Amino acid sequence: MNITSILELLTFPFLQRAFIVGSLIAISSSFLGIFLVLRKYSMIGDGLAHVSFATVALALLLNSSPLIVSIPIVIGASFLILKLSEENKIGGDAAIALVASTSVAIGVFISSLASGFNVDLFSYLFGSILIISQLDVYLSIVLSIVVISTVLYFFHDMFAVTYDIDFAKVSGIKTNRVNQIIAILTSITIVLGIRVVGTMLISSFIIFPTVIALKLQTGFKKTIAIAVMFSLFSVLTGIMISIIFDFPTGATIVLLNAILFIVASIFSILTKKG
Amino acid sequence: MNDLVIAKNISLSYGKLEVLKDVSFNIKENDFLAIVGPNGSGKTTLMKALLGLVPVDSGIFEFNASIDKKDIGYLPQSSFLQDKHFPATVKEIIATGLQSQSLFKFSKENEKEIRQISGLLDIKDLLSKKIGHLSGGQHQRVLMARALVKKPKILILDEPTSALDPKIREDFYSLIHHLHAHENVSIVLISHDLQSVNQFAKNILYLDQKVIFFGSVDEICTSEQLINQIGAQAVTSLCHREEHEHYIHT
Amino acid sequence: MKKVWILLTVLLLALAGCTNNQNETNDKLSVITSLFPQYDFVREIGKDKVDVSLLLSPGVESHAFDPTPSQIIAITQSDLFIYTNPEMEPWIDQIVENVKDDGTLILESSKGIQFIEGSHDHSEDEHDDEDHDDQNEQDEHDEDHLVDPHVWLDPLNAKIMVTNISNALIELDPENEAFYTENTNAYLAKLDDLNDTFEEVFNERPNDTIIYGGHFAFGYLADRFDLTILSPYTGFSPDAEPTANAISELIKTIEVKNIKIIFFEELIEPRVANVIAEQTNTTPMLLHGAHNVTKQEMDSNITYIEIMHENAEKLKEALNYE
Repeated sequence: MNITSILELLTFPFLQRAFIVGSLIAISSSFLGIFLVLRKYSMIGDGLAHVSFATVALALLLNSSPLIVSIPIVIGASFLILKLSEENKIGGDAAIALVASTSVAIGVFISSLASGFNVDLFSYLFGSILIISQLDVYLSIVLSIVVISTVLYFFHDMFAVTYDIDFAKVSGIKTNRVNQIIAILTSITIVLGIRVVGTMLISSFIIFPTVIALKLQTGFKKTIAIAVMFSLFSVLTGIMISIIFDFPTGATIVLLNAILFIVASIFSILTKKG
Repeated sequence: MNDLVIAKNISLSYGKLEVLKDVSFNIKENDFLAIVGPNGSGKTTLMKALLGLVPVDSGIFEFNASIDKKDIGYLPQSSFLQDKHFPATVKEIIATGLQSQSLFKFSKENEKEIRQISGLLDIKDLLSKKIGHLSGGQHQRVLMARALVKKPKILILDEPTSALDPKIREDFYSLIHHLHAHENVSIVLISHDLQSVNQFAKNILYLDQKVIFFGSVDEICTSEQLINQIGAQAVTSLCHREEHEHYIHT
Repeated sequence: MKKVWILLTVLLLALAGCTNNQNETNDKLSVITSLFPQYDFVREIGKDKVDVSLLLSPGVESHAFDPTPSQIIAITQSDLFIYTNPEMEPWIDQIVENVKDDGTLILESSKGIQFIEGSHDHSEDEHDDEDHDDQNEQDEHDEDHLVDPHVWLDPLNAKIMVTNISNALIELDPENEAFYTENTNAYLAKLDDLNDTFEEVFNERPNDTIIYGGHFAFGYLADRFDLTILSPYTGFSPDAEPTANAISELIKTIEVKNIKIIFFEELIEPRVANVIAEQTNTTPMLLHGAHNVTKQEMDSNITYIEIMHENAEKLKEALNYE
């Protein structure tokens, strides 16, 4: 692959959209990731994706838009996860597993009502970062603006709740509201993320960059900034590598994240010793 | 001397377990109240109830009109170990004690408040260090700064010295004493450290699910109930007041 | 209160009556088919002497279908069950096991058809040279899913299927042999007609490239008439992502050859086709694979021949670019 053919490829709209939407979704996810990982809700991306399985099945059964059906129900599921992990003293991970597996069962049930699975359902959940419509681009722009501005606006409270929720309550922060905001932002990011880049990518966008940044052991704001940088890097570089070597793009991005994680781990071990 | 907080007949159970039974006490202006009692006697739970972190089954906390949420500072039991890996700088942690704000950046006033309290607690040079990279004493001072940054009228401390070396403990108590004597902060101290209680407390609440004794240090020596509960020797160590000059800064 | 009980009893009886309808003792043959084409064939051959029903409900996608216990029971209670072939209905073993002692005749309607190669997810890219070697390697490893199961989309194969079905009906109901034979011959003639239409479309066409955004089912026509099928899916699994190069090659081909139409299959949301159409000067169009039909189509009594004629029209238009 020479430089001219690469440049030529970059003129294709589908690739330009992959870069733009991939970056927007990656950045939005990185802004949210730290609040989820530190509160031990790392699996929520995966869990809510399972809920989406049921909501998309329902939408296809009712012949309506998966996006419109999914968003309110997924938000509801995220609230349920919050409630379960607080009130019943079961951990976030158990709450997520409960809601996720129940949702898959509901999705299977709904599919059976339609006398069998719809192949369309699976292809919807897998998605591809290379098959992005103009509408998807607009939605991603709106999503990023909403997520980033909300996180910045509520940043102090979100950080306080993440570090020490009791103290936050004592200092007058409405911790329930903060948790709900995080849940809502996560839900819409997941639902839209599944639609535009597929389940595999969105789950990794939420967790990987944050976990990698945490390895570098620095302040809170810096950690978010580093996560954003890493996620952007993995998207842009991942797409480029997949073009040059004719690799599947989404999988390349995820694997690149995994490699970065290994590198960061080695780095943190070395710096500890030194 | 006004009452800042009056607790009336507080009762609380976790399921069948009665944690607090009909507890009444009060916190005055410029008070130094020590809350003591055996492990599991409900001391932490009582403070959490006062702070609104756990609901009570019956009873009520009455707050003076001059007291609202921002006037109560809180230093919870040590999070030194958990914080080892938390990604935050000292400055970021102290800032969580500030009033809820909606901007990513600190205002000039916030910067000033943080600077002031870091100066008072002698942690100015630690501000950009990670919370996990501090010694036990430094960590405790950072959380003190967090509790004090909004200049509270009441400061509740839950076992603040349990994780500290004896030398650091001394410094810590002189700090608390300073706050009490010179900054007009009412101190509520939950502690096992009877010597410090003996040193500084004006009033003592002895708790064992219910109130065994509530009153001034002078009254405690003659409390029959307390003597029956913990024995005469223990009572003596509580009530015998030694004046140690060097704990009192002039 | 009494009224409620009467109403309930009446309802229960009515329900019982409904479920019994499938087993009414009459002299009509009861036939169940897995896919729509065979359903239509049985209708044409048997007409009012046969009770035929379709296993798939209208609107249901066939590829990931798995029969429920009640459906399996319904099959055991019928006289004849017609499926396509083991590649199309991999769950056929389940049925065979359950009807062994029961007397339901099970017919593989593809018997006698010369199968061609296909890949495991029913998507093809036969004339993509890069993948040709990959396909050969795949042949060596993957013996089970070598065959393209969509046999019914070539009218010549449909004729063989119709003959198989006719023989089965005659075997089960010899009294009406003359009736079935007459209808079969009439229908075979219609299929010949259909074949002529396709020959006209393909033999006199100016071009040979079809763009498909999804899982291509018309392998048999493509093979017979030497069509080039291009799709973004060069992989073998429906879960495999199209690579950036595959998509860009596709778009380039569309532009270079000035192709105007991109096809998608029935009963799915044509996302890939729509997105590629957005970025090129093409129109997305349905190429109906006739696995199953929508409720609307079923209600309007659509037939296999109608679907195929429409497909022929669209293929003609698609090949008429430049």
